[in-house]
Amino acid sequence: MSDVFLETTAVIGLAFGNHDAKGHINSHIPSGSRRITSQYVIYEVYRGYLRYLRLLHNKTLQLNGFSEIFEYVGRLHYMPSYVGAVLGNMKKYFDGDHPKLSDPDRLVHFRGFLRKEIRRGFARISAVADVIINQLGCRDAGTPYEDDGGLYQHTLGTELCGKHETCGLKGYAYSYRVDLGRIRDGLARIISPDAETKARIKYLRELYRVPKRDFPKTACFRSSDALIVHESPVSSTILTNNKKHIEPLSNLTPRNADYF
Amino acid sequence: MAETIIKAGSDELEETFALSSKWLTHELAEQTKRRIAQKPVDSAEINLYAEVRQGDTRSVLQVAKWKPSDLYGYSDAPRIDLLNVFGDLLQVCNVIANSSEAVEFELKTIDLWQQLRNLNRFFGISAAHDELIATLLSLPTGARGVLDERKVSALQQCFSLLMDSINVADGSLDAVEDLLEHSDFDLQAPMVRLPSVE
Repeated sequence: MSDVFLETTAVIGLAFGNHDAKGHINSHIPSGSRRITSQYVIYEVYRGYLRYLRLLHNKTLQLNGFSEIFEYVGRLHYMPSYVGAVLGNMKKYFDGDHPKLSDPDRLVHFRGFLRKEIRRGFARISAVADVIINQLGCRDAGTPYEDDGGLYQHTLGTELCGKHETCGLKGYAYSYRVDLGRIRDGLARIISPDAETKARIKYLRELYRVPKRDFPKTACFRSSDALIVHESPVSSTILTNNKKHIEPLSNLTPRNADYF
Repeated sequence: MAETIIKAGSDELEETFALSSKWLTHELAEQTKRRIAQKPVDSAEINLYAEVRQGDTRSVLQVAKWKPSDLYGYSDAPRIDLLNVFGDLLQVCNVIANSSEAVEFELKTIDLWQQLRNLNRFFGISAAHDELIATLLSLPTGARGVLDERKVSALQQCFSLLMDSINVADGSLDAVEDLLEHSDFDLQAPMVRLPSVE
């Protein structure tokens, strides 16, 4: 029975999706197979999806109505895709199930929902897997907490990222510099790569080029998909819905992958 | 009209006021109200100042400013009313649990969800209450609000617990949310579309 390696999108779906979403992902996991993920994937969920939930939760404390969140997000200089999905889902839910709920009450309802997702979702993230590997030496993070003003904080320790003394990635990347170099070369052969792939080609090299030299934090998360695929056990099947980026990487490594 | 109520001599006071919480604001309003002998006229302005002395230095800072309606229109959070509503919801669940006839079961279920919709009037008591009410309001969403024995039993246990909980701590929230999840309520029902990294 092949182990299943849960990539970031699978972990998010299993920890935060509704029953249908979870059922759909679970239907891709053969019964009896072990569910594996990595500390790096977990950290990516903390730094990505969970952080966006905190952003939305904390912003609701400064607004008067649910509709104002869309205006706020519209003014951001970037559009985080997770935020769009969460807001879109909530709007559909309010319109369909609570059409008479006032705009201010929708905001409080949304905040209450997010509070539950942050509190309980945090514990669910690491619980979706039977085994958590950490060859890469990625750090754990503290538990999110509500400060005196009601804002959700989460100590991620990102100030320690990219420093060769405190970040395990440097040593890992240098040990596997031949593998990562081959992946980088493979990505460079892709015709018309998207912006994310271009960034990966650029930053992967930063990780392994010079031992014991700090690297920019961006090099870590710009290279994330390559690192996730490389660290996944050879015998496992990677489960993801990010086919666009995982498929070329799993062909280069090589790994088996399944897309939900 | 001004009432100087608090005198203090340290930076701590300023820090405390800078971090003023909902509870502290409420407490200051209550104390101020008690010190004012007669209710001021509606056009009055009530200011609360703190005098801060540090050695020879003395400063006065404004802590709060109210209209009479802010102070005298204030009422405690309706926690007891909410407990009574949870008691009422428990009664409806008991009726559902004792319904031996399928249509009656559904009719009472609709009554339950209708009553549950009114919980939004209790928003604002605390962050934990907001989470609880948001969770309860979302219950009819999954499976179009169709209940079974297991779900009714979980609701009975939840409302039994809640009708005795004047304060809702995260521990009791977890107990309620665990009960609901274990009986197959979808507490993440609004999240119909999976987030994508694309």
